[in-house]
Amino acid sequence: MADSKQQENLIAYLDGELTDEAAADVEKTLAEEVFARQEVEKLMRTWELLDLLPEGRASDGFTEKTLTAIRTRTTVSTSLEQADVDPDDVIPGRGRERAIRIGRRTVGFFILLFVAAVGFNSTFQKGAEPIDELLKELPIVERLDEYQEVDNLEFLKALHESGLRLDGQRIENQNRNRPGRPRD
Amino acid sequence: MSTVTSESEQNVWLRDPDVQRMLRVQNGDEAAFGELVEAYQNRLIGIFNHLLRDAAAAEDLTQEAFLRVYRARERYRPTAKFSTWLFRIANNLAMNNRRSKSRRKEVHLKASESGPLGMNPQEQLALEKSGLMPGRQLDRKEMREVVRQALDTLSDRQKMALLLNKFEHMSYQDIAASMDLSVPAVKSLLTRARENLKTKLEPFL
Repeated sequence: MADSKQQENLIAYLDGELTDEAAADVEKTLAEEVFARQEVEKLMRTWELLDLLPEGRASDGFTEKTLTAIRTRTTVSTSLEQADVDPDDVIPGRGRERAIRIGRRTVGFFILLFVAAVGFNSTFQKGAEPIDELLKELPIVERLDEYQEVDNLEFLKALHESGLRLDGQRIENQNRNRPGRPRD
Repeated sequence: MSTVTSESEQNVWLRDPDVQRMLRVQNGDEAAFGELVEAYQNRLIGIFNHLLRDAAAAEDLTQEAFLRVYRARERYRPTAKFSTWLFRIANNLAMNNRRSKSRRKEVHLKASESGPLGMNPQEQLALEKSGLMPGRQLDRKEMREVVRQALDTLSDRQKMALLLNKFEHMSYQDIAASMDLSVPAVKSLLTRARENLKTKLEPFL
C-alpha cells in the first residue's frame, strides 16, 4: 500500500468516498496485507486525535454584536450608495487604508513633480545663463570694434579731458595724441 | 429541459433548512438571519481559529463572513447547501487575510508555529523541554498541544480541507465546491494532509 494512488484510495475508503467496486478492492487489499491494516489503524487513530482540538466558541454577546454591526454597516452603505459616496470611505479600517493609499499616491506624485522640475531646471537653466551674460554685455559687444581700436585706458582719459569726441577724425587724432607715436 | 433540471436541482437544495432560512432572509426576515448567525458562528470561529491561531481575528472574519452573506441576500440563489456557500465565503476570506498579511510582511513565526516542513528547531526544543515527547504518558491538555502543533505543520489548503472534512463532515464534493477545487484535487489534498498528520503524530499513537 505504499503506492500513492492506493494510499489515496485507502483514505477515501475511510471517508466513505469510494464507489462500491473501489471499496471492494480496498477491502480485498486489507484482508491480504498486514501493512495496509496497520496503516488504516494509524490513520484512524490520528483522525480521532483531532477530536482533542478545542471547539470554536464565540465570545459573550457575539451574536448581538454581529447583528448590530451588520445592521449599522448595511444602513451606512445604503445611505452612502444613495448619496453616491463609496461606503468604504466611512467603514473604520477600510477608510483608513484607503486614505493611506491616497496619501502615498499624492506624496509620490509630488516627489515625481519635484524631480521633474529639478531635471527641467538643470537642463534648460544652464542653457539660459550664457544668454543672460550676453545680454548684460550687449553694450560692450556693440562697441567692441571701437574698444579694440582704443587700445588703452590712458588714451581714453586723455580724450575725455581734451573734450574731443570719437567721430570720423578720431583715428588721426588718436594717432596724433598717442604717446610715442611719430607726428605727421 | 435545462430549466426543468435547474428547477429540480433547486428543489433538492430547498430541503436544506438553512437554505430555507436564507430565503426568508431574502424576503426581509431579520430573525432568520439571526438564526443563521447563531447556528454557524461557533463553527466559523472554530475554522478561522485553527487557520489563523488568532481568536480576535477569527471573530472579525466570522463577522465579515456574515456581513457578506447579508449583503448578498438579494441575489442569493439556492444552488448548493447553505453551509457549502458559507464556507466558500469563509475560505475566500481566510485566504485573502493570509495573502494580505504576507504582503504586509506581518506574519511573525511564533515559537510554536511550524512551517510546511515540520516543527521548527525552536518548537522542537520547547517540546522536548516541556516533556511532550513520546515515551511518557501525556495528559489530555498536553496531547491537545501536540495535535495542535501537528495541525500547524499543514499548509493552509490542507488544513482547510481537513477541517471541513473532520468538523463539518463535508463530502469531497462539498469541500471541492467550498474551496473552488476539483474532487480529485481535494482527494489528493486530504491524502497529503492525513499522511503528514500521521507522520507527525505517529510517535504519540
